This record gives sequence, C-alpha cells and structure tokens, in this order.
Amino acid sequence: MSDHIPAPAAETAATFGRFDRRRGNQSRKTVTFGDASEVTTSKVWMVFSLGGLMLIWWLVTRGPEPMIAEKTFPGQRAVWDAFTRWLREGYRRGSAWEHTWASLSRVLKGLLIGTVIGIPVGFAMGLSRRLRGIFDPIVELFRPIPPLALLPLFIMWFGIGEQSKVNLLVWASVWVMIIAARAGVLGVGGSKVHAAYSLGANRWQILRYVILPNALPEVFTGVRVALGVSWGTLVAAELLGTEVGLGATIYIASRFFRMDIVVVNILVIGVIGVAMDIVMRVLEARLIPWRGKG
Amino acid sequence: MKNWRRIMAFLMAFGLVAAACGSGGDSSPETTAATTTDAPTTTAVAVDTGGLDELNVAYFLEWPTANQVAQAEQTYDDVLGLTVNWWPFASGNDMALAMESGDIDISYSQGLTPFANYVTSGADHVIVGVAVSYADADNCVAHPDYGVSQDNAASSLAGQNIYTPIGNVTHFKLLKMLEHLGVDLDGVSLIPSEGGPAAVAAFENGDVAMACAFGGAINTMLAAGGNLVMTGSEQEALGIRVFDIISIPRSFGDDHPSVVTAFLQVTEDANAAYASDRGSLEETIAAAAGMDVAGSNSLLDAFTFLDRDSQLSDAWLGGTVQAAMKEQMDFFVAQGEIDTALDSYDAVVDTSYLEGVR
Repeated sequence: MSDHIPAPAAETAATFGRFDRRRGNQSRKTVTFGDASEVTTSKVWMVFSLGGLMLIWWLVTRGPEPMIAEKTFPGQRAVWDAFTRWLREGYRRGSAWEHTWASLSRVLKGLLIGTVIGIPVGFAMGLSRRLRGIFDPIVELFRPIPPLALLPLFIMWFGIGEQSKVNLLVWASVWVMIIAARAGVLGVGGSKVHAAYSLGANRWQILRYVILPNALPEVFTGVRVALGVSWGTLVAAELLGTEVGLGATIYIASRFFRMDIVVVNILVIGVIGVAMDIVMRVLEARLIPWRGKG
Repeated sequence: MKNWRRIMAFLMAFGLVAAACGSGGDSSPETTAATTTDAPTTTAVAVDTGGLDELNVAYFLEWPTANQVAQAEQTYDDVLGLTVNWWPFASGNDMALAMESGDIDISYSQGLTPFANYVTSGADHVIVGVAVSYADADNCVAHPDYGVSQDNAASSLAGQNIYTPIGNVTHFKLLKMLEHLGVDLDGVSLIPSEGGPAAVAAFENGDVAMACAFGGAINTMLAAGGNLVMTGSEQEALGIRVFDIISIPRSFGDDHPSVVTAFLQVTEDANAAYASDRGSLEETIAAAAGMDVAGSNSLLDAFTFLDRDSQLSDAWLGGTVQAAMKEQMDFFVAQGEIDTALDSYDAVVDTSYLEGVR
C-alpha cells in the first residue's frame, strides 16, 4: 500500500513552500494536528474560498433568467457599477468618505469606551470574590439583550445625537470585553502566581508582571470579537437617527429596494472589518509575541 | 491524506452553514388563533383552493380595520376552507419583501408608496383592492417646544430634525407638505425611523422638531402636547391621497384566483357589516388591533372602508390609484431617492378579482 510511504520531504516542501510559512525540513514535525503553532493561514485556501464565493455569486446571478432575481440580489456587474457610482457621488447627502468615516469613528469610539470600561471590570471580577458577586448577575442579565430592543429606550435617554449611537456600540462591546478580561485573569496559572510570590513579588508586581501579560492574549481576542460585534450592531445604532453612515445607508436604501446600494455597503463594511482584523493581528504579533507559548 | 481531511473539514463547515440558513424562517405566526380547530365542512361555499391548505396574510398591528372582525372570528378560515395565518408587520416595505420571498400571499393594508416603490424596482406584484382610505391617521406632529405652525414652518423648521419613516406614504406626505409650506428641503434633516414607538420616543426626548408616523403613535404624541402642522383634510385639499391597498404577488393570483376573490368577498362583507352597525364591533376590532377601545375608535373615525363599487370607480382603481403611483414615483425621482419610475402603473392594478365580488 503506497499510503504508508510518506511523500518525499522535498516534494512536500516544493508543493506547499510557496504558500506556507513552513519551509525546509527543520520545522517539520511528525505530528501537527492540535499544535496551534503549526496552523498558519493557508493562502491557497484563502484564494480558494474567496474565489469559490465569487463563483457561486456569479453562477446564481448570471444570464437573463438568473437563479436569484436581480432585484433580490444584484449581480457582480450591477454591484460594481453601484460601487463606482457610490465612490463618485456618494449616497443622498453624504460622500462615500463621509459615510464611511461616520461609521468608522462611531465603531472606534464605541469600542474604545467599551474596552476602557470592560477591562477593569473584567479584571476586578477575576480578582475579587466580592466584585465578581456584584457584577456577575449584571453582566449575565444584560449581555443577551439585543441592541435593537434598546432603540426606544436609548432614544428617550440619550436622544438622537452622536452620543446615543456611540452608547449603543459601547453596549455592544462592553460585555464582550468584560468577559474576555475576566477569562484572561482566570486563565493565569496559579503556579505562576505562587512562583512569583515565592520570589518576593508584591501585589502590584503580581498584577503588572504576571496577570497582565498572561491575560493580554484573551483581552486581544476580546477586542477582535468586540470589533465584529460592533460592526454587527452598526445598522441598529444608526437607526438611532442619522442620514449619514454605512448602516443608515443600508437601511434607507432598503426602504427604496435599492439592493445594489445595500450590497455595496454590506461589502464595504465587510472589507473594513477584515482590514481592522488584520491590523489587530499584526498588533497582536508585535505586542504579545508570547501568545500561545505559556 | 491530510489534504482530504482539510477538504472534508471545509465541506462539513459549509454544510453546517447551509443547514443553519435552511432552517431560518420556520417559526409559526404569533397570531394564529387556535390553528387546531378543524376547518368547518360547510357545503354552502366551495372555494377552489387549488391544493392550498394555508393562506398567509400580512397586516399591521395598531391599525384597526373593519375586516378584523372576520379575522378574529375566523370567518376567512371558514369561508376559504383553509387555515389563514395573520402575520403582523411594521412596514409596507417589509410586506413587499415578504411577498417576494413567497412567505406572504396577501398583504392587507399595505401602503401605496412601498408597493409602488417595489414594483418600480421590478417586482411582479399587483393591487387587487383598496383596503382603507385615511388622511388623519397618518401625519406629522410638531413638538411644543419648537412652536411650529403653518405660517412659520419655513423658519421654525429650518435647520431642525424631523423624524420620519422613509420610502413610504408618510415620507411622501411630509415632503409634499414641506414643499407646500415653503420649507427648504436641504435645510432640514430627515431622520429615518421605523415609526411607531421609536417616533414617540424621539418626540418625547425633544431632539426632533417634528415626528411623523401612522396609527396610534400620532394620538400618543398629540396627547403629549404636540400639534398638527396641517390637518389631514388640509393635506387632502393639496391633492395628497392617503390610502392603503390590498396586494398580492401576481403569480399567487394566477395560481389561486378564487382564493383571492373569496378573500375580497369576506372583506367586503365585513366592511358592509361595519358600515351598518359599527358600535357592536368596536371591541372586537380594538382587541384584534392590540389597542384599547378609545384609541382604536379615534383611528376608526379617520378611516373609510370602501365598498366594491367605489373601489372600482374612476376615483380609485379605475385610474386615480395608477395616477397617484405615477405622481409619487416621479416625485421621488425628482428628489433623487430613486433613479427611474415606470412609464405607467396601469399594469400593476388587476381588478378582475374584485369584479368577482358580489
């Protein structure tokens, strides 16, 4: 049975070396499944999945009698035309850049405030029995509430200004950040803490040199998740009263059944989301190189 | 081997996603009253249901209509000989999308504007009847702090926020009213809203000079101290017609013509019963609309339910409705909301079903 004969290393390296980071024989391990450090992004598969999506899109919208009607989901050509027109003329009362910046700044403000509130609360919940008792029911009670359900309340409390939208995005991200920070603290091995104590560390040093670095990977994951949740809440947030923003554009265009504009803005949000995630990954690699090695 | 595992993992993930998407809209309607009751086997009426065993109808909450007596007493179910599911909606736009998806067969009381918008974008839906005419039940209420009146609207609304649904008749009415009052449209911010509770909340918060809505929200805002800038009849005098229609996907009518006609027949009978004796039906209607009797009645006062002959006359489906759609869509083209309007809206009105009503 030829299955038992391993492929020559040189051939494997030649096949994958162009795309994978695993080059040469020295980094090859006999068993890799479950070893997270071996899982790097496979660009072959990235191209494959993106190309596949585009192909499916093309297949279901092509021809004079497409599987999905043009008004239900526009084809690539129509979306491209709508995109270039959106870049040139914007939509309604804003240019493409004004819409994008309005939404981007709301998401970043919401995320920043959510993080600034969430990390200390999460750390406190991980470090103090009393504070955990206080915050646990609050977090668990409010976390599952969908932001859309809060619209009328937020309008009454905060009005329809900019702060109201940012507050809704804070709401979306703060619970994620609290839970991530708490999980980060809880994940710090007790042996590390006791080792540090036995070396003479004080409380502050424990927090600064043991807990913080060990919790950071979880916090970073939390920020990435919160970023996604924030973009996901954008349409709801911009229902709080604005004509300018990607989410508001999607809502207004849908009222006029302008599906090409809806799809363009969905894709713009998607691309911005991916770009921000890439930035976060680069930051992560720079700032916490010890991730996954503790 | 490893590649195969990767492919398998990819396919499995894909399958999971597909399965998740497939199981989407299976929830049952909240308002189906006792679907377990057997369809009565009265032999008096024989509607050819064409293999249909359920009819899905879209309607509005907080929108009391005469036919809700028939809805509550399940007259539709009895006459049609099938289960009628009533699905509550928040906007006529959503009704159009639900009809497009095939989940809704008949939209009762869809606004004319969302309907016209959607057929303009290429949908194959048709109007089969006029549900209700109303002018006072759809309006804009000015916040007392801003002191807006007809005389000073051009100055008092300049630079202010106006809260309004977008792409529906409320939006159209608002734009026509502002135009009439000489308000510079570039100088006001129209804040898109879902109407209803959101409009009331924005009004009570006071960030908006005016909030536009339909149904019970208007009464709430008036009770909170707001004032109408123009009354419904003043707006009607400008030629702004406000009415809701009964619409279907054209293919549904082609497949089940007798179901559509029977639906219109039950509606006609319910409207006639309401016209002859409203008092005894008020409580039933209010309960079905999810309102208290006083609130329901104040809306009913503003409503006119047209009989078959009026609907078929030139004042309505005989030509005026088609012209109203053309006017509204041309107006939205001029406003830059849409790119083009249809040349004519004659083809999206089909009176053949209504003509079968006695």
